[in-house]
Amino acid sequence: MKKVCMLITKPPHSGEGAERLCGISAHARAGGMEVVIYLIGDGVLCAKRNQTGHVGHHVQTALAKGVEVVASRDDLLARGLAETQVEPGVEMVEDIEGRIVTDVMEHADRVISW
Amino acid sequence: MVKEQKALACMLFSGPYGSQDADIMARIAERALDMGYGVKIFLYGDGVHAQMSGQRPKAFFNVGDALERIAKKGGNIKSCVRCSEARGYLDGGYDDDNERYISSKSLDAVRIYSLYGFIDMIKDAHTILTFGST
Amino acid sequence: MKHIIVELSHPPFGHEHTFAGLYVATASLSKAMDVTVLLRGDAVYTAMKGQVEPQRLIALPPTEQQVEDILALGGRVIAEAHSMEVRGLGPEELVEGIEVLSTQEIHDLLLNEGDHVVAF
Repeated sequence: MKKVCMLITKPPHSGEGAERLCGISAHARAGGMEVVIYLIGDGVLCAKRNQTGHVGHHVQTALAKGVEVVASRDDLLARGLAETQVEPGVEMVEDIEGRIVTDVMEHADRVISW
Repeated sequence: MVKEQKALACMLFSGPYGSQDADIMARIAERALDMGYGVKIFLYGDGVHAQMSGQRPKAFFNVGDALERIAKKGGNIKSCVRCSEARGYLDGGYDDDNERYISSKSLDAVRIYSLYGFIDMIKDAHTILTFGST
Repeated sequence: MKHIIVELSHPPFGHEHTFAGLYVATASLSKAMDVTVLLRGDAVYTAMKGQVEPQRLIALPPTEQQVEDILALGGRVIAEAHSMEVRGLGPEELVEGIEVLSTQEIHDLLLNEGDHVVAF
């Protein structure tokens, strides 16, 4: 199965980022690809639980479609977001750099960073 | 112990301190080197400000120090000559011996170079990650 | 031959992103690489034709000319249909030779074509 890894460092409510990311994720899943999204820096704000509007919808839909969402634990905790405040299904990872490097260098067929 | 030298290329397009992108890039690049991968970094646009020598942030992650560590570990760091010249980094022409444009303001760890330096990184890289460019 | 996809999202002139991406596209073409430039969001304005002397009027290079150069060097330049539609832009307002593709087609391209994606 082809695997696409996408890295996002931008917050979800400014710009078209979250919508575009989730759009391409849904498309990749529909085409039978494995999809991993890495949330790092302000990107971790995409993982906040109970978001409404299009951002909440997009994140929840992506998770429901089997997109793997991996967020930097340190970036979340530093922003005051504990595990209970994170959307269920999002994986909080301590060594996010190691995870990203391993995946993009060994497992990914396509890498996109926004 | 050295893995096949697959290279990770990173492009930084935003300056240090104004956003977290330079920190994120430096952490990923250093981790990749520690894991045995090759690392190539291109500083582009405002990203060239990461090459300024003498950075002394009081409470922030020191991007200049991180680039020096990365170079010491074998990372290849270049910055765009056109962007560097626009921002006042150049004080000489191309130095053939050291394969870089002359700048007294830039860290030794960073070689000021033409944009083709980035194109060659793209050609050779296994993976490209971009930071601060969207 | 290596093939890179350069994805642009910012409007031209107001930010350096567009110029930076177009320079990468041109330099890659001159190093015998295949290049596809995607214009999405406000970046569709990059290919506006009829730009009146931007170098003289606002001291910035004409992106219209740069897009024409990329096409002349054999690069593909693609604008996203939805981004054009919501901005009231028709294909006749853009440089000749630009392809207009749907978001789905652009997703396919980003996921399956070329060797690397570089986004600006």
